[in-house]
Amino acid sequence: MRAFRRVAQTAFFILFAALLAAGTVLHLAPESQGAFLRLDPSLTAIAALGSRALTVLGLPAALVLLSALVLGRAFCGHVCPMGATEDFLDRAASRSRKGRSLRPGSVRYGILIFLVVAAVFGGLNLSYGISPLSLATRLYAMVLFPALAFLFRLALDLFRPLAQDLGFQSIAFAQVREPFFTTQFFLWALFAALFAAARLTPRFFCRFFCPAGAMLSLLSRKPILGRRVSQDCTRCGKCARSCPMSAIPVAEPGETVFSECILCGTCESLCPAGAVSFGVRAGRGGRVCSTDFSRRGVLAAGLMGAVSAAGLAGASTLLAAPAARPFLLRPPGAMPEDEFLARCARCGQCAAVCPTNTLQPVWTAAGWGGVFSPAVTPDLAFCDPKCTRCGASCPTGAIRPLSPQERIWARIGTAGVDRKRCVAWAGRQACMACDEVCPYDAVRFSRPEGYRFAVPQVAEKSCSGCGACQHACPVRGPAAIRVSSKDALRLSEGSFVEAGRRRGYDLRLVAEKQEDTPAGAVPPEELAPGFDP
Amino acid sequence: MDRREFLKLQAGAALLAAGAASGVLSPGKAFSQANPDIAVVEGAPGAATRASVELLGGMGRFVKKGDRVVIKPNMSFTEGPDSASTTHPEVVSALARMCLESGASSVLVLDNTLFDPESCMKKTGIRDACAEVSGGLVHALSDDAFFQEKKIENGHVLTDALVMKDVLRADKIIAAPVAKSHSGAGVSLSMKGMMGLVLERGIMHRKGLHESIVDLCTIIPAHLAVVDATRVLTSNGPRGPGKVIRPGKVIASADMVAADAYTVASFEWYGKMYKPRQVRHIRMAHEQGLGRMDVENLTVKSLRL
Repeated sequence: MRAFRRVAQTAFFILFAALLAAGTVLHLAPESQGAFLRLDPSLTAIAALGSRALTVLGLPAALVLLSALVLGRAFCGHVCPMGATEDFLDRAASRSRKGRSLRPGSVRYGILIFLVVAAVFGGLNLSYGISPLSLATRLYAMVLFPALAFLFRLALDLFRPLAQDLGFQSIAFAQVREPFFTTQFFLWALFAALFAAARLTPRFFCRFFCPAGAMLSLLSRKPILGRRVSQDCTRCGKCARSCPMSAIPVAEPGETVFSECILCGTCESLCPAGAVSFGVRAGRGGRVCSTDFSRRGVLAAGLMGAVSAAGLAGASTLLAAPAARPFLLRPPGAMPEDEFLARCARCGQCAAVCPTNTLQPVWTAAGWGGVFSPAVTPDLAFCDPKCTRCGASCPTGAIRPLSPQERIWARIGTAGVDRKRCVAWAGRQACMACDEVCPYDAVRFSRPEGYRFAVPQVAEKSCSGCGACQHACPVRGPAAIRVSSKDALRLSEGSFVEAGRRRGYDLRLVAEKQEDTPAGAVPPEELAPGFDP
Repeated sequence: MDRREFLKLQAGAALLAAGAASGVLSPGKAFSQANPDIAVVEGAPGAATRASVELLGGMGRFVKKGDRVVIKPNMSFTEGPDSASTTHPEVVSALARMCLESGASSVLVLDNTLFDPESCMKKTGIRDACAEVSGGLVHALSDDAFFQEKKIENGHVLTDALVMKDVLRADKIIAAPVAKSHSGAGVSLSMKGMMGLVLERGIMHRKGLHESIVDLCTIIPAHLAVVDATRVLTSNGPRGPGKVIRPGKVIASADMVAADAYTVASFEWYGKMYKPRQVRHIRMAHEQGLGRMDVENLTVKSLRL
């Protein structure tokens, strides 16, 4: 069992890492990574409860949940990448032995109840703080991936002169995209704390915090497959002392607390009498940890969830009403804000697969209920209208998956020129850097009376808010052309193309407009832009 | 007959035709006698490029054995030749091939693109076209590791610029822009194109676009300018969509200001004709002695293939 588990756990971890690497480094198939995230029952269930929408996206998580009836918490021990990470750190870290006696207690059930109540009564998705696959994705995509890219770049810079001398052009001119995420230092601290706790007890997060584990525990009370102890047992208690999950009562090593057992096989490999095996259990039920539930605990957690949900929702709306966030830009295809926040698992997957790195987790820019949710930040980069990766990768449908044509029409905002700060308007100089880059040809020029050079204007019905102009604007802090969320299309269903057309938008890319441009002449009395009299 | 042979043959025909046109029987002599200031050749992009350089005296006049050459096309957008916003790939590959034929020790095709480097190199068709000449020529550099600060001694508005190291190391620079309008700079040709060899361009917009272009051209002037006017984006440049005309011409000169000036004077811009002096950076470059915009006083040799 132990060997099988090592192989399975490693294989699933490699799959997780490979899908993530494919999505982030190689820019391939973001959908598959989203599918992996959907295995997380807590992430999926809380998003579904919060948004009151049960979709086909929940199917993988439902299967994982049902697997607990047969396999117990095999998912935790064999599949979960967060668990694999903890196991790896446990092996790497030395630990005082007495730590193993720490009892898991009911904290994680409390957390689960809290999340459910907040979702049901507050329509809030707070699973992001604690869902294992959301955490694991952020750990690898937003903490380790940037760190690795940084190291890789250092190495590249080191070898470049040599490669140039030797004529290895592909190395000499290789460029590494160094991703940057606004919250990554917070995440460093979070994970440092979490893994420091691994010194106290094995699988600290798994045992004390994980809401997905709690859900699986509820269905793992009497699994069909599980740990079996034969008559050969000498009650030496070695297994009970070594169990990383404290799933074996010391007083009765023949028993198993199946709601804790992750089928790791440690007991089987350690048993001096060879009395432990894993397989189909013969009838008799297992045991549940007696402290798992208390009525008081359930009520307290539920109450906390309700109060927190109300508090968060209240604070969120009071502190910053939507109208007060004109520059918060959601990714293209993002659902209407309330539904978006209810679904968003804050896993960071969309930001990690974003090829321009414009998608960034926000702090409180979206209110206290929107911490870590993704936003387009044109100052860093533009949101490529030909890219559909964020929607494709989203595990909860908070960002809808879009076809290329739908994506082009999935308007995220509108650019506006600040004439008081613009190089051309206020400085009366030649510039038009915004016009140069606009993928929709929505920046138009004119030359008002008294201006020697052309000045920019935004044709709002043709602007999708991609932010290429804002990124290119030479004026900094803030740019003189800036995208606001005005006229953003936020649809929970239906076609963006149709909705956009109904509103009179004309969102076509430059290439599509090539045919129907007029002769391109300016009136005879006017000069071509950029020319002197 | 492979592509290379075909092009050579075409260029040979161009030489003969040019010789015949100039009334001299021996074409080689015709060029050694007096190289024109500007060469204009109408024809297929690759062949016209080769012929235009031959008319100027051949690539050997510009690129010596062992020279390190940088070719600067416009590949800033993810659009191909039809958009007229990027240089025709065959113009670039013809130049690269001629440089290697003249004994260049290295040829690099460089640009700091406005959009994703990979997509730009691919969608413009420039990387594939150059791959037929030699591998690893085309690079869209945007990582600051590739740039180095260069002082601009006599700059009017700029004191320094972050320029590609490979450009500063190069013995020869060849400008290979596409001819197009530019709502800020009037036109985007050889001189404006040099901005693509710089890392931080925002400052050039803030300090004055035309002035900055001229300042930049004082430190990295092109030794040869080959303007791709096979298609010209006469309005709504630099990105378009706008009116695209197809003169099918390539305009070459050892003087980048002259090449730009001639291009300005040759085509309509937004439906009207303009004088080179109406483009501020061309006029300033002329006044500073960087090159000449008085195309009426320059010798022009034209040819139709």
